[in-house]
Amino acid sequence: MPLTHIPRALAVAALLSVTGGAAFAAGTEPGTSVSSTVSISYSSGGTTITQDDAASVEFVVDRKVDFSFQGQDAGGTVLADQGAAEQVMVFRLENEGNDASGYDIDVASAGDIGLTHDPAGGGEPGTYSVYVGTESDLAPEDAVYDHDGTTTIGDLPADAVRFVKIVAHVPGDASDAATDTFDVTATALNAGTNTVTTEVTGQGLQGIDTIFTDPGEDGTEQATESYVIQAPQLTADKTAAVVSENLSGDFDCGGGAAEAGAEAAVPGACVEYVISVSNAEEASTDAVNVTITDELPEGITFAGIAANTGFDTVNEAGGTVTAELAALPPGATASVRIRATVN
Amino acid sequence: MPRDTRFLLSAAAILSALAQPALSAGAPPGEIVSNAMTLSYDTGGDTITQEEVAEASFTVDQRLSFTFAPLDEGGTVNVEPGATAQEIRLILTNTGNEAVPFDINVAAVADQLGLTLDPAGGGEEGTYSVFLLDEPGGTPVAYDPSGVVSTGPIPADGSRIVVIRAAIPRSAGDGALTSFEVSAAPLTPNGGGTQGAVRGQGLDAVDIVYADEGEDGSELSETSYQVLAPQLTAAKDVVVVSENRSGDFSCSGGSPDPEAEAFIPGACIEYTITLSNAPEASSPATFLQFNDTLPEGVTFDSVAVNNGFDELNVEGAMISGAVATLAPGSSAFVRIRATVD
Repeated sequence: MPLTHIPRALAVAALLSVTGGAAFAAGTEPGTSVSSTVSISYSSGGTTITQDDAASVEFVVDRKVDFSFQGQDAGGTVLADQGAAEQVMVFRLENEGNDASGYDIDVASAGDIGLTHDPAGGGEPGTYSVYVGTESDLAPEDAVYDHDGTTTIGDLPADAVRFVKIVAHVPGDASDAATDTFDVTATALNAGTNTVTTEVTGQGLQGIDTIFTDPGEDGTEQATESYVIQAPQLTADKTAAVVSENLSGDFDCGGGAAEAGAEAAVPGACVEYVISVSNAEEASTDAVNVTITDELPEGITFAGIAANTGFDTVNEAGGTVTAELAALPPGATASVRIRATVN
Repeated sequence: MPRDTRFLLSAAAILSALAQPALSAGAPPGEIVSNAMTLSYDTGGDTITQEEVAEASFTVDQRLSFTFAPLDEGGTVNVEPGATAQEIRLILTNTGNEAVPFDINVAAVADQLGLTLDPAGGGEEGTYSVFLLDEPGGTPVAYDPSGVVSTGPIPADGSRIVVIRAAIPRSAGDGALTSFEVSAAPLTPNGGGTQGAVRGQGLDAVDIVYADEGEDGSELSETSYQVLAPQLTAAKDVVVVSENRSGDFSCSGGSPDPEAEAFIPGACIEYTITLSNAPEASSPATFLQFNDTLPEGVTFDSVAVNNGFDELNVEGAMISGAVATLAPGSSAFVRIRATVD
């Protein structure tokens, strides 16, 4: 039978009912009732009989616990200088579920830098503290967070983002390439509480299940980053040798050529100190603003600078020689030869 | 009396119709029937005749007789929901010997259709009206059966067709029944009241005698509307095909996960819409169609299964299906997949 005669006067009434809240990018809010109704019609007695509410079904949207937690620093590494303050390691936490959720942040660190946790954010060298804020950059309004125990960072509405920042104050004696690794864990908490969220199933069409859909479907996400110290590996060397015994008394100690065989540091003799500073080839970074200060001891008198290899400036004042160098790359050496006469 | 006198006695009935010609229903009331006797005898070689030597007369009385019966077989008219101008017809015949007006009363009993009387005959859904016709095919004249209302005189041997015309409610269910008790009672000639029996008027006056069935001056006829309709049921349910936690489930073609249960955003769900006509239904459903608009909060994905619908159409969130005929005991269903927003 052709259907072209199906009456057009069909009541098309799908009853829509969405109550409870608006849809988010992350999905419809849990508890939202989604109901729909089927209308049917048929021909009878030369007319069309319509049943607007012939059948309906309703379900309640369940809670989807989903979030991402990822380190934001390239290579998962924060390069830090010795003694640097406020070295910030950033983790991005996004609530990708369909409901507000709190989160507990736990931090486990290990390594040869030996950073220790300062819950109060005091900023002492060798310590780190945790801050939470809405922007990736450290901001004055960021709240310090004590990651010990189970404590919420506060509720994140669906689609909201927070940044967890570990702020370290590197000790000055941290060695080049020293590393502290931070395992940072975010765990979903029930909104408004410090209670860890657990899955709830079997609530039927009208109840609200709670389902984990984060990677691993366990309500916990971990991200790892490291602090790696970037420092020069400097060594200094200083030697002394007799340039001329100057037995005749007419040797130009400031510029004269070294005499072979000279060895006796007799009064009037000319001696030469060679001071060298090297940055190891394997060092991570240049040594910058290198300065050596050498105070000549009693018993000798500064005579001159015989040679300068690599220093930007070498000066003497009052028996103290100061040599300065803007940058000493890894593998480079700077040296200076200082001459003095024995009193 | 002389023995040779031969009496020739003959009797002749003389009939005279003074008022009306005789009908099949009988002589009209008031007609005087007189009978005079003629006597003759022989005497003296002659015949002596005496006309009208004796006479007797009487007046024909009124016989109140009528029948009132449905014209439809079994007294039941089968109707469909929503049908208009559904007629129950009865015929009232005056089998008496005098023209008589009648009063018609209609009472709906066992009224499962909930029909109400519309004296004006407007024909609105859920109403019934009463009409009188002089003859089949005649012009129906609305008749208000409330109270005592004269049909007008129906001549002896005459008839009126009484029509109950109803517009059946669309909501009438299969098997629903409304019965009418339709009664007719003769009225006085001016139609002002019920005509009672009159007796003891003697030979010269007109008695009025009930001769209808039961001899009570009232005839009752029972007739019904009965609905023949499909018994349609629609069912709609929804299940979770996949919770799609990983986000890579193919909602349109993926196999259901038997453990899926949570309606979380991104989940693939399946609505099943089933239309059934009960086995005990009296008639098939014709030109059956459903319309379903997916609610906010879900997004149409695909039609997974179509079992029995001749047509399925999807326009945006609206899904409609049609089947030309759904016989009693048959079902059609469709499975629609959607994702939770």
